[in-house]
Amino acid sequence: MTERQVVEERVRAAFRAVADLPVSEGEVSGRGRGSLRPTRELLAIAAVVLLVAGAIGLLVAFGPRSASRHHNGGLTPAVSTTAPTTTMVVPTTRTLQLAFQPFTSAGTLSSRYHVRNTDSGTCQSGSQGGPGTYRCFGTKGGVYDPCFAAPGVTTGPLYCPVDPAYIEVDRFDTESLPPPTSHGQPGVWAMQLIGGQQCLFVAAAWSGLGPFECNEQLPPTQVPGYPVTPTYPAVADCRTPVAGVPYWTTTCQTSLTDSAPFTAYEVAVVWDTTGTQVQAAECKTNQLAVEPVSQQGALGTEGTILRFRSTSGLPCVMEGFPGLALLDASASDMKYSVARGGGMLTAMNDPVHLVLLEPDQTTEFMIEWPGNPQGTSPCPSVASLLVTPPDNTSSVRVPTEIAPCGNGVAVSPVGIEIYP
Amino acid sequence: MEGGTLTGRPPGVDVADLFRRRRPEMVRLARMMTGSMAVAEEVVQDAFLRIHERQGDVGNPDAYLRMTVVNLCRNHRRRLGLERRLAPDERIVLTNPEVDETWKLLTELPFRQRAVLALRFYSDLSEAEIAEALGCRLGTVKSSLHRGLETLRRKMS
Repeated sequence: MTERQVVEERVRAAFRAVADLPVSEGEVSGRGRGSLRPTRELLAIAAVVLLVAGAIGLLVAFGPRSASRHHNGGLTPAVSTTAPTTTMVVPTTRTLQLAFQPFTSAGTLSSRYHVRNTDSGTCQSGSQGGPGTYRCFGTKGGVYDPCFAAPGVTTGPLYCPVDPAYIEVDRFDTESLPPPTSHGQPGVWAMQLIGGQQCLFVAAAWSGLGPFECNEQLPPTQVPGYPVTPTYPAVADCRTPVAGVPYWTTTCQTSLTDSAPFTAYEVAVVWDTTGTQVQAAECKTNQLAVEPVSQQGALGTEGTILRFRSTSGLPCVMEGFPGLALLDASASDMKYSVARGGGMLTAMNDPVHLVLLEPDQTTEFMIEWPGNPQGTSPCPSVASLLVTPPDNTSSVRVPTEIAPCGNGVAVSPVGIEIYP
Repeated sequence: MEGGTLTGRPPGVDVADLFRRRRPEMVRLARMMTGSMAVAEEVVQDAFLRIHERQGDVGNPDAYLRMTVVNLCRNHRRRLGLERRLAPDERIVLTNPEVDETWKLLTELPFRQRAVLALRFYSDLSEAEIAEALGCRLGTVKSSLHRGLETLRRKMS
């Protein structure tokens, strides 16, 4: 029996032992919101809850958007038992205002976005995203807000970002789309805090707290200029951010208890539709250096970490996956397949973060592959890596000494947690 | 739960029947994820209440129920900081020392890793089914499973 099988057996035994503990009968005296009781009482509770929910827009929190945040680990603290050696590069000088523009000039969805779910129903003009955005209601009760339509379309589809990283969107089909409103209060509908949390407007999430709900706590390491404390920055619900110079600020609760105090946080990025956005330029290959960081390996998986360094003296943003080719000593492509995500050594499937690189700052990504299964015969040696930064077409060649077994590797997005 | 008649429930999903069939298993699952007997029962109550609130329009009731329980466990943990705030007498203690030590290590794992392990080794779900229950990608399940087991292996050795 392998070491892993021993662990699995012990896990099974522990779960069995917990499962064998008695379970009480169904009549449970309710704490908090209520207990399941027969007929009229249950219906009364449900009616009150639904009325309250409708009044404060709670449906948004229970709709597909909420589920999508769960999907992205949004409500799951990605806290490792070991301290990640991650980088989340954050700005040190100002808050960026960004617009969400997922469409090509032809009005189709840009190829960099992935459609996660598809729904259909009706949409109304105006939403938290401000003029030109939509709130859509799915046939099964889901609420999507904000959703974006390509200019001039009258039937959809609309695309509703799953999180502020925007790599994933939900597609929403509707037969008739009302004209976009030009009025309304433009508002911030997503933000990224200085510590890396991404927060999405969800109206009255969490029993009236909010209106922004943030995803997981990111490790405090390498946040320039900020003291590292055990609690930094544990964020739950945040209030609407307030514009300021040089930073926008928001206040967030440090936990999801009603009595938790609000603490001020600086905002790295806001997304809105005011038309006054300062769109930071995407990092171009010629303003980046690619540097090897370290080699890693665990339980039959090996990997190497590299980082992009901003060399241009100007801030730029990047998100998503680097392109990659593995070259031999004669600089020929060794034809490894390259998968985006799916690795074992990193939280490769956690949210793709927008990374802002201030001058001389770095952000890391990882390449990994299965270790040598036999442990004897050597695997092919790779002489260099041809790395293409996200959303670029030109590449940088980086010498390396890796020897991946098999015929494929996986690459992580930039700015992601990497576990030692 | 008595009688099982829920006036006004929609056709197709018998919430009372679902409650009778699935509640014990869901309480056990929630117990593994929250580490608390009391919270597990409250979470499962809440899950059934939500199904009723949705008027039964939940597609696959069993899968929806499981997903709701998992999400509520996750929310409860965040909301109350239960991992740190549970009084000692609320913690589950098992009689076999080795099993109890394993359980203690399991409760120290991040929520998602523990949830994946519970769904895999208690509920016997496939990785694809776990991904559906957690609302995450298959790759996330694989990495969480890997990291959870690796953490346990390291602490056990």
